[in-house]
Parts: sequence; C-alpha cells; structure tokens
Amino acid sequence: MDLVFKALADPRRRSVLDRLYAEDGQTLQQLCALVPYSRQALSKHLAQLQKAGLVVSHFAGREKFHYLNPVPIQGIATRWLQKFDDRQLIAVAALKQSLEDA
Amino acid sequence: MAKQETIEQTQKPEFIYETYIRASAEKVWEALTDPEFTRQYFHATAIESTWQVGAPVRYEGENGTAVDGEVLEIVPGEKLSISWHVLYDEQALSEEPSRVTFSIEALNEQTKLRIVHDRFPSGSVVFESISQGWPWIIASLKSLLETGTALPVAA
Repeated sequence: MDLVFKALADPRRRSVLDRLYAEDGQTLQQLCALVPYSRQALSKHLAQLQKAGLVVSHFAGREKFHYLNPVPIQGIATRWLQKFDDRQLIAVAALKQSLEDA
Repeated sequence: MAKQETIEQTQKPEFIYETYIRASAEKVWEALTDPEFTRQYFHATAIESTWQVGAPVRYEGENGTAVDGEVLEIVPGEKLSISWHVLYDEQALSEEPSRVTFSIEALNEQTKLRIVHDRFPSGSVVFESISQGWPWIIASLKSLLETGTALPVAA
C-alpha cells in the first residue's frame, strides 16, 4: 500500500493514470505524445506505477500496451470506507462533483 | 490456425485487471469455479458448469441467470477463458458475447490473478459498465480469501 500512495503522490504520475483512464491500453510512444516531458521521465513514472500495481502491461505482437489497474485503489477505498453506507458516499461524491463543475 | 494466432496476438484487450492474493493458486482457482465461493463475492450468484471446453457456464442468482457463456479454454488451476453474455442488463441481452479470461500464477506466498476482458462488440453496452464492476469484484474476492469475509454489498 505504501507503493500505491507513493506512486499517487506525484501529479505527473496521476496524469498518466488520467490518460489511461481516458483511453486504456496505450504504448509508451502514444503516452509520450500526451505528456509534456521526456520519454525517459515517462518510462520512470510508468515503472513506478507498475511497481505499485496501478499500471499493468500486455504484449500484443511487438507492442507493449499499458493499462490502468484500479484494483489497488479499490482496496484502499474499501479498507477505510466499507463501514460507511455506500449510498451516502456516492451522494457526497456526486454533490462535490456538481459543485466543482458548476 | 497460424494466421488466426497472429490476429489474436496483435489484438489488444479492452480491460486488464490484476491483483496479488495471499492464498494458494489452488484456493484462487476454487474461488473462481466453486459456486459457494462466487456466491460470496460475485453479486450473490453461483457459478455452474461441467468445465469442459464448449460446456455452458452460468452465474445463477436469486433473480435468474446474471451471466451466461461457454467454456472456451480451460487449464485447471491456471487458466479459464469463457464467453460472456450479460443477462442482468436488459439493454445487453441482444448483444454479442465478449470474452473473460482468468489467469492464475503462483508467486512465493502469493498468487497473481489477472482478468482480461476483451472482444467486445462495437457499441457495447457492457463495455460501458465493466470498469465499474470488476475492480470491486476482485477486491471482494481478495478480501474473502485473505480475511474470510467478502466486501459488504452496498444496500
């Protein structure tokens, strides 16, 4: 779990997860075109995300595709949230979203 | 056949989920294929099949079958691939099935479980709802095997 929090602490790594959330299964090259820093830096961030289990990869042909794996985040959420009523949490999250979007 | 394999290898799956579970590979396999286990973490449905290639697979719930499909590939204890036809959502009834593949790998004290969900028909209704479903199911399965209790279902 430490690895997950460490990986999520960096806004650049969170933005990589955002890119994969928007479109899952991207190559290093595809992701590189979407971020404002070097391929080398991106490789390092991806490696940390993979170590934390937040990104998993899949080889198809000669290409390596990266996928968002939200299971560790679900694990964190349920660790501290499961004793509360999910409906209330969803309502609060929806309210926050609507206020922020307004 | 060789040609089909080439297509297979170059197609990229839509969703991949992975988790490490502190349980033996045998236990994880049992959790995937035993109705007493699935009932506890898979929307209270019992999985039923004779586990031969081509045999039907069903997740049976109190309100009827939630998912049906057939066994596409099975390597006991390692890999299970099934077609996935959703019945719990009326809009998905007429949709062509997708495919779900469970892979299990023993690693020291832990077992790696990978779930690949792919081959969605274009414009799939199921595709839209999948990202809400699997992470919770997998977290619940992990909790069940590690602590003996699945996650409570939202009221």
